Amino acid sequence: MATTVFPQTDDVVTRTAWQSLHGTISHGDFQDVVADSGLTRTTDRLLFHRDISGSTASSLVAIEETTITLQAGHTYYVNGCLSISKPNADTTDDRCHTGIRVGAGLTVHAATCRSNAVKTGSTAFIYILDFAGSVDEVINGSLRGTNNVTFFEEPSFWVDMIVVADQTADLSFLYQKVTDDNSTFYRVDELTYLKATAIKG
Amino acid sequence: MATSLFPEAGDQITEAAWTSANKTITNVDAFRLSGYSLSAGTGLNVDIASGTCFVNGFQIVSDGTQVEALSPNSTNYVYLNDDGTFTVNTSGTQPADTLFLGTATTNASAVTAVSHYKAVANAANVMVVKQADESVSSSTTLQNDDELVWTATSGESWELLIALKISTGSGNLQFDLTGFGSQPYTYQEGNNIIFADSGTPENTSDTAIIIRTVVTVSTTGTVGLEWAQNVSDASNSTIQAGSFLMARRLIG
Repeated sequence: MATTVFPQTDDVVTRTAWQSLHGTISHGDFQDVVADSGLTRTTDRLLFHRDISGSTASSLVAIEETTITLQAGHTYYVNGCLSISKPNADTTDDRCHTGIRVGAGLTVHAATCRSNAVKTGSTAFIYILDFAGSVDEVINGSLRGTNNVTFFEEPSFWVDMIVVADQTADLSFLYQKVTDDNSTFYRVDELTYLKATAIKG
Repeated sequence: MATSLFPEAGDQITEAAWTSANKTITNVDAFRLSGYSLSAGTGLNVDIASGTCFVNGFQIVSDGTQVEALSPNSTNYVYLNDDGTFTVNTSGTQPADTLFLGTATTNASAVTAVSHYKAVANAANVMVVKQADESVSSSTTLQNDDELVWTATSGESWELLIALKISTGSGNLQFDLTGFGSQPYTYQEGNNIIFADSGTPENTSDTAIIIRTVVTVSTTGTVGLEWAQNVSDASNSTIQAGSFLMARRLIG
């Protein structure tokens, strides 16, 4: 960035001098697209990720999917949906936690709506939450569905968030088997997306 | 903004010519973004990291860390000016043609905290996170929420999301949208999505409400959430800190 006001009184500036002073001002990369698994798009104002076939939670290892990287100094409106499939069932299925992984330096204010399609043991369906990184915030505490019945493309929760990024950090969905007593496994599916729009004034 | 590429090959420009060509550069609300991050510097200084910032769709790259002096024992507000320099004040009043970058809180000799949060309320976007609990007792008279409102003009259409954290006693809580006449809207309470009309308050004893709608402003002025107790009671009905409002102007 130029460190002085330009031009100053009586300055006469040639094209060369102008470019030297201002070569670091450019148009944003609104058209940039970075692709990896699923659809991952990053522009200056919009971050978007959609999962098409995520990793399988078949042990107690937490699976992090649909990751977007938020830039320090921005405030974002983030919304999305985590959709889960249970491709393999057992006589008594292990349950699964779903939630959000929040990187260090992010402060999140969230309104979330849990689906009642597959969840059990819940008496409330919407939550207004505040949390700051770095945390794993469990939204759907005990997803399972019916024992020994597989399911596919079941939204686990929708979420709307205001996220303040004091540091550059990742925000992602998370799912993890609660127990590993049976052969049940879970997988994120193609209805899952996370979208962040930078807003500040 | 000048509509032609400036300067072109062979151009020579004076300050007068530059001013004439560029004096209309402003920070249009719809595209105002800031991306510089703050951190505690040495002593009473804040460091503004090198990186990118966006003004009106332009990407401005700062090659190195900028150091700005702060006032002691204060909340200092840091702004990027349209000439690339920075302004720091303790009033919180945003100077014209600036972007807000963040706040740096100080004690007598050093920075104790930095934050990039600030409520946004401009012609295109409104974003407010309620900073403090607000309580009403022994009253059923609707009042505007202290924070979850903004100023809009009749005829504007806005997409609206309001998330409320609520605690009540036996007085419960009635809420309404003000400034939108009798237009319908939707909200979610528990497992129900409910259709309601502005101007006709809704009653809830729940602890969380999510309002989603697209509405058109019918009365220029303060619009947003208003609420009171549903039944007058000595115990508090409270909308809690952390509740938030997001509004985006669609048309008008």
